[in-house]
Amino acid sequence: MAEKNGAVPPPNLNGISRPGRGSVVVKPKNMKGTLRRLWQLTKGTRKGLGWILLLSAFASGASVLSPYMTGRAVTAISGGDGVAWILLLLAGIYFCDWLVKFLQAFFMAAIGQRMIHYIRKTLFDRMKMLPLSFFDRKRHGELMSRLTNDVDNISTTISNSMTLLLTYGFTVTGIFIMMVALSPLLTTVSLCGVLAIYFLTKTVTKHTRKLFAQQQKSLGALNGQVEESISGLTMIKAFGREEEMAHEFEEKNKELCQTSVRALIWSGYLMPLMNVINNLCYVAIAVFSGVLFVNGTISDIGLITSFLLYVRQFTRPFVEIANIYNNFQTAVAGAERVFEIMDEQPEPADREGALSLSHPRGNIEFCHVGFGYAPERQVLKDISLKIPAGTQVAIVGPTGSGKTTLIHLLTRFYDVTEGCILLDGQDLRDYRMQDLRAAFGVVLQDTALFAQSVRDNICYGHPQADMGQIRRAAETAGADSFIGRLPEGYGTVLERGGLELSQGERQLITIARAVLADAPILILDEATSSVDTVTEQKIRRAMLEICKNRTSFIIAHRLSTIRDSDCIIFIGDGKIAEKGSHEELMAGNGRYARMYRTQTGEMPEPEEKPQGM
Amino acid sequence: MGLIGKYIRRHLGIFMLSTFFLTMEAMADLLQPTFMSYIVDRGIRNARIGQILAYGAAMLGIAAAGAFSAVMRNRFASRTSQTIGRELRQDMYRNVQRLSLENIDRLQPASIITRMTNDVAQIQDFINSLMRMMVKAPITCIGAIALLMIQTPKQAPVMAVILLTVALLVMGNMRIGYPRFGTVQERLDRLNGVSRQFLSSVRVVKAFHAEEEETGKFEAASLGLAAANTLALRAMAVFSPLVNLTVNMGIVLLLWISRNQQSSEIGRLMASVNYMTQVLFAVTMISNTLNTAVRAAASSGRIREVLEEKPAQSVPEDPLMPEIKGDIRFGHVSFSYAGAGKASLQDIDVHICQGETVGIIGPTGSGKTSFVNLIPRFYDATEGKIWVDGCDVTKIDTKLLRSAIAVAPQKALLFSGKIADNLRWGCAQAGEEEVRAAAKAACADDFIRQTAHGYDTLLGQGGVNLSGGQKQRLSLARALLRKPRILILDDCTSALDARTESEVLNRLRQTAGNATVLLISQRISAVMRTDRILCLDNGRVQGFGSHKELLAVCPTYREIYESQIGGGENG
Repeated sequence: MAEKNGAVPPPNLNGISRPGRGSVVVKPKNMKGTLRRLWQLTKGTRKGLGWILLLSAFASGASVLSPYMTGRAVTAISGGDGVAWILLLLAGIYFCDWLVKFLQAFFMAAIGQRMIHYIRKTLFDRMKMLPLSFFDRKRHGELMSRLTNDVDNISTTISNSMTLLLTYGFTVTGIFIMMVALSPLLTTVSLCGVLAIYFLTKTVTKHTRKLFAQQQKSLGALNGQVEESISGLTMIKAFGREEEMAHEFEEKNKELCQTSVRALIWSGYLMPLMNVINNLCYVAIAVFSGVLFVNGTISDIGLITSFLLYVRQFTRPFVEIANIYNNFQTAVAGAERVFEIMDEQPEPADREGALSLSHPRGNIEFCHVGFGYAPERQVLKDISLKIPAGTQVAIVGPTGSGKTTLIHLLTRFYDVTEGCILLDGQDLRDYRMQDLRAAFGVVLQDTALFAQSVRDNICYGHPQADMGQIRRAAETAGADSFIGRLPEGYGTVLERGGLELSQGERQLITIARAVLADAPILILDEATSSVDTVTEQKIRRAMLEICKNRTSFIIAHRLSTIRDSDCIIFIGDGKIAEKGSHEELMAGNGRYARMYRTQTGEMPEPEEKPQGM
Repeated sequence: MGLIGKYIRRHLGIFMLSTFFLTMEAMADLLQPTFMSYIVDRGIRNARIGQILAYGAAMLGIAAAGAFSAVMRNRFASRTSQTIGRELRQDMYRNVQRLSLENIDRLQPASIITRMTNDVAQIQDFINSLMRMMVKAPITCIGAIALLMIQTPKQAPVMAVILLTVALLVMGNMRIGYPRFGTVQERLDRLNGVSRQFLSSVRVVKAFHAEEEETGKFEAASLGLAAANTLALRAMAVFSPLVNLTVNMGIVLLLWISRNQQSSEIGRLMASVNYMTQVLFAVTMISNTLNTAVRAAASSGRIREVLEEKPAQSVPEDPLMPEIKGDIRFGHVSFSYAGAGKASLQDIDVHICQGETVGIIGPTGSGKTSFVNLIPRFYDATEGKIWVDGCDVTKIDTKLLRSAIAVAPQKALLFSGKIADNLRWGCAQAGEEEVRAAAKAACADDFIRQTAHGYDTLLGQGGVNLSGGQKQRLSLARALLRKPRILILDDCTSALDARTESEVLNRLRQTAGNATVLLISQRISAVMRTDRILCLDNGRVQGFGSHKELLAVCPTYREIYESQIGGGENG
């Protein structure tokens, strides 16, 4: 493969290998439709793309012309004629080739990246509008690889393969015309070579594709095992399972090694065999042209030179085109995965004439609300409930009874499937989504903090808050004292997204965030479950303070914390089982009372089917 | 790089054999243009078909020999690179298993995983390309230059200039291009960071209606990446075509110098042109492999860190093999995590008797988990000593010590495989009945039997297809099945609802037999009924005694009690 001549294809100095070499080809489902949509995404870069494609037509010029000129030069030299002008022309061709390739790559760098950024931005804009159910359903790692790898792949591979395919198309056509013009008979001979190489490539790749798929599978199995045994090392050590795990690892390791070797060896057959065919072709042409030379059919030695140079270049694109096309297919399949996300149903748009909501009073009413994450599994059934403004509501019940779901419906993370929820007498869905969410201050189960300063984390969503407000919010939440102990106080950047803090400290910050938001309705979802009870008491006092004159919802596992709530709702099996104040419910001696006693250790008996020790 | 050398040396024989075939392959490539020049000069020019056929046959023979060599070296290279990869992975895995948790914390689990997968793949790539190209490229380069000199001796100065220019260009590209690609990697990490944050905090983003803020962050990161990429690609756009241009101009020069050549040596001229392109090809190859080498060097550094990490714990030289009954004594123990400024445990001096059930309670971060982690030697005390049945734990055979202890952690770790196999971790030879009994004791039997295949249901990695409470119950059953002498329950019922929790705890004493039980909990109701309660705060013992005693003498305990149960207590 080292006998190429004439204009050499640009060497890839940085060794960035194109993806998909020998790897698994994923076929797109709807090539045409996907390409049409991709074309729409090139808006803004189309002009640049047009220029680049035009340049690729020129880029093939050198490959087509230079062997001919070299042949002419050889004829001239062997005939003893002057070669100066021929060589000057050749130099000119090479220079143009350089200029074209440089310009192409230089502009492609900017245009390609602009395209990537545009697609990525479009995807993100779309993603942020998707409902929560989408994020609950998808694995995050998968979504991340859409945002980075897939988008990258789409643009680079598609633009690269497009220019390469064009260049090769022009080159092959150009060379073919030149060859036919020079000698139709010799052209026929070289076509035989191309055919042979085509069949060889097809046979080998058919086989290797399967092998590489196998390799991918064993690699996945091994990676899974490694992940498991490192994240679970404590347990492996505790249960003395080192040998078994190592044995299992060794099996998978061996399997991977074997499949990889097989795949590599098979794919390694291609190049050497192609070399043999190439040489065979070369010799055949030499023999034929020799015969023709003897016959006197050809009198020009330069013609033979040109032809021999053409043959070398003629076969190469055919081998590459198959490869490029595979990459292209994989990239289009990647684009389909990206479009899949773009096609997801976004959160419902605001209704026409949606009401704005600036200072809701906080009267909330649930009217026969039903909801299920999937149609066949109802989580909440026929919930009806009237909550006057300023009421403090506690929601309790066993795990999985639907407490968090109820809250999700209030903030419209999900929409009710039956009935409706009214805020100040209006259906939630009649309000503008933005206003509605601003009406709620939320402290959620997962204490999500951002990799920015503590200060920015507290004023998240309210960037205009000043330092005094931020500090007051932190004080109310009882977070001020520990923030003061951080190396740079409020300016401390949480590099690891808050993982450097304890779970309790993280929760205090999220509470401060909700305090600062100063929303008319507050929601605390197990906000204090990971804080020790002493700290919790402190938070609790603070929350009581800010809950004044506000409608508030508290979900807590520890019943002791919600005893003073105005209204306690016990949710069991998706329905409201009991409702009332602590005293009322205790007097009623129902499920709440039993749960309360179990927790406080007054009555160890479980609720149903009594169990002996 | 020394690391790679060490592994290659193990396969030196095959490596040399592969180098031999590689040399053969290069020679075959090098001979082709010379024979081609014979065909042209001696065959075609003189119109001697016999000559053409003879040289043609020789060319084919050489090509076949070259192909054979290529196939052979490919076999050797593939086998060697993959085997070395396998060995590296295995050695790393073995060493990681020997490490203590302190080491793992330092290296970070995610990073170890990347090292075992991606970094090893880099090394494999490098060895593969080393055995394919690295050796071949210089041979081709030198051979091509030598043959060029023989074919057309007048070309020497031209060649020198061209080669020098190409070398300068390659070096320039490395100087300017590589750092730019480094920046690209950094920016890519940042973009990934921003998207990960968005995805994991999407509830908060929506609740605070901060979509615009997040878009701003994402756009900035994306633009930054695009800019860095553009810069890096532009460096490539400048240098790659320049290398081409240089060599192409070399060909023109070559033709110019040979303009007065004897017409009978036209074939030679063609061969020279051919050798020029071979040189170019070889140079490109070298710069490509250099690139892999740079990456492989970084990877091998990261791999070496794992391989050379010494276990932070000492292995007893002459380990004691006592029969472990379950008597635990902490003698003025202090402990701090490596790198942490603050001590997690300070001057702990307690004695837990065999067969006792001890509840451990205290605020978040008070040292409860650190306390129990010292007993099976997940970590070692920084000061003081711990005795189990009168023997210093650091002197006991670690395997024996751990075999007598069972742990159910708060974050239940399960492994892919059948539920029954997961439970049998505790005791491989346990019969079906025993497994069932343990599951029943952990209130897990009911839900296991409701799964599609009961005890044979396959769990995904980390037990992904189970709820938090179900995982905790399986993890508890696994610990119970072990029938340990010391049972450590580290808040392992936190995800259960209160009713199931109390059911589990009620059965516990009976299931545990006369083992020593250490029960960590956040909930006072869970520890109230244990024999004695250890109350920790800020890494110090605040009190150790029965519920009643602690209520009387320990303010911290009383505060926790008040906060959870309040004044309504009556017994």
